[in-house]
Amino acid sequence: MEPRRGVIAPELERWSRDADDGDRRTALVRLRGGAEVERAAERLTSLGMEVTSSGPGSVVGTVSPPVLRLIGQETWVLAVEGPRTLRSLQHG
Amino acid sequence: MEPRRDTVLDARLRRAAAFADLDLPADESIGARALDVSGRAAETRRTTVKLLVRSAELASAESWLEGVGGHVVSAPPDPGSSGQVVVLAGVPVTALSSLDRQPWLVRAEAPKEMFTRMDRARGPVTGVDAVQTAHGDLTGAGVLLAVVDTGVDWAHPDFRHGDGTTRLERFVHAHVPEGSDESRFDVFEASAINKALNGGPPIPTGDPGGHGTHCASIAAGNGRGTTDRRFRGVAPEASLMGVRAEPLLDVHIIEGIRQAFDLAGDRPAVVSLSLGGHFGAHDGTSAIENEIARATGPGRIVVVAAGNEGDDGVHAQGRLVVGEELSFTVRVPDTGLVFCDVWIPRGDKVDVFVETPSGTRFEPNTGETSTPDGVFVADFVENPVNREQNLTFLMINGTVDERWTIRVTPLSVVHGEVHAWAGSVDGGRLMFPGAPLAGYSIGMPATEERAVAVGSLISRNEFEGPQGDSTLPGLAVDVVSSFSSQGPTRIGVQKPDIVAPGQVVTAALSAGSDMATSPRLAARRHPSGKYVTIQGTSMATPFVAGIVALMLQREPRLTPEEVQQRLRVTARRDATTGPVWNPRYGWGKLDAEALFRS
Repeated sequence: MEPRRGVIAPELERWSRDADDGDRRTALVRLRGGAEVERAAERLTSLGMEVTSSGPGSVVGTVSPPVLRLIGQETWVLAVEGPRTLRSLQHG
Repeated sequence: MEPRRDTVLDARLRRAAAFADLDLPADESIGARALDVSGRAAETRRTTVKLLVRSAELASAESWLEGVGGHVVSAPPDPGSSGQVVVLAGVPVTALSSLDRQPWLVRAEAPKEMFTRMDRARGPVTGVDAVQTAHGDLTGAGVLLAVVDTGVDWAHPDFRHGDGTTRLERFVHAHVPEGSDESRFDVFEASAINKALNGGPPIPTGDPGGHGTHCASIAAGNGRGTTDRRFRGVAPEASLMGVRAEPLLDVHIIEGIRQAFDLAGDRPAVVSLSLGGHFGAHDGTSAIENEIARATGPGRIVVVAAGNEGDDGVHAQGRLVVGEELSFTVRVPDTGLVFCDVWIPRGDKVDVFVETPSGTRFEPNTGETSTPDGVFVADFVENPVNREQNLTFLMINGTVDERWTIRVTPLSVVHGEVHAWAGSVDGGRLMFPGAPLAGYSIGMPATEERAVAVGSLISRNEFEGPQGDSTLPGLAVDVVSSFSSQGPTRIGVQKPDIVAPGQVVTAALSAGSDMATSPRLAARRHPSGKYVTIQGTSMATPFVAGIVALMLQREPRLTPEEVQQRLRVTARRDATTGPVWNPRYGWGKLDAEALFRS
């Protein structure tokens, strides 16, 4: 059995299949080594991403399903991920 | 007006000397109250004093102390014959006037807060009080300390200056508005907080959960919630930034880290993260680990909690052998949205299946599968970042106590080491029943090599509750907390780095928060109503973040590697920790005295 290969995380891909084209959600775009964050953010904005945060190695913003698919085709994109929930580490 | 030049005593000592000379009733004397000697009989009133003494005259100082009934608490072993040295001495209050006239004395100071009642986390176990007694200027001043968490109660007295203005330079509310899937970041500068404190335009509540406030207070609270400031934090004069991340999404935390280092500018900064998770590769390649790796550097440090899953069965591992099926059984102790994340090395060829409690096998596919035992999704993908094979199993509405099985059938094996983590995404719980608790329970992002990863040490078993002093019987002191997560990481990085006080820790209580109203914590709330006693690696982390702020105050350009190295080499190691790195204790127990001596 071969694992599925692609830069878009499965949960985002599922969402983009089911959501309306006008729906939006937060996504995190990881950049390949050598990609400049500022230029990446500009390019993502031009593709339709509403960038809310950019910094070393990744750009955070909101995307619609069509925009997500466009981002997944960019060669400098390493991965596109949905937000992950963390937990406070108070015990008990 | 000319300043006084006829005394070398500081103001508190002068007041104490005047109190002794005038023989006022103790409870009417500011000097006596300031040194906390008012409740003692006159002959036993004694105070610890920092004496700046000419090196060549150290013997004269010791002789004088002996003559007045005082004693040397601490003196440098090799004072030399020139320059000056600091001697810590116990001095009877009645001898302070005489002390002021001694020719060998350059300066005498009462240690800051020396006589207040300390939270024991600061005391003998870690040596923080001793450090700040000997180095009164080590307060975190000039360092930005950011707590990225559930928020900070900006109205709490511990985060306000003496004039009532806020100590927070910035407060960020990272949130997902109701009915939306989009994160928003609302930023409030100190001016907006001060206006809100004075009845101006309101800003969002600081910390409805209460967790972040407790953490911020451990790191940098100034203790103003009680008159004797007994619950002040490690770096009480650090500049503060608070992030209320709601929920605790990694994108909110990442933006918090960015805002903190941006706000710091040329100043040194430390970010405290008392949070984590297990959904991911545990190898430094997740987005938040990557952010820490790339955002940190000279004067930019991130401290992270190791996790509380040391005895929770969140991890399992196995070895692929051709011809043998490897299986991971997970149990549902509590329903919700839960996950099991299996990592299979690249190059190993496998088939993977999910087996329901009733024995039906499913191959991973891209959609949701509905079964009588629950709805699940199983994705088998090659992770685009580390190129390893990842089976992600997500389930909702499982049945309590039922067991699901992930089966891995090896076809060809190159590497063969498989790791799996289970946990909760949104409510509920999933675990590996009977899995050996032998490491790899350290959470992300503590798994990032450049983060300072902190486990929890039990530094006390007593606290002040609503009915006075309470003792937790059976809680051994100076050992690691049983819940503290264990290293190493999946790729063998030796984390945690260190353990610090994380159990029975009293710190600020966010007004009106879940912690302030939860009946579960009723017995843990301090009579003042401003503090609460809780536990977790969450509490150990800001303690170390505060220590790092002190380190950066002294050496603003320390790198993450230098900070880690110094914490490690100065950590206290004993029979419980062993002589080398230990999966539970890391490199040992935080030892602030040794750290600042080095």
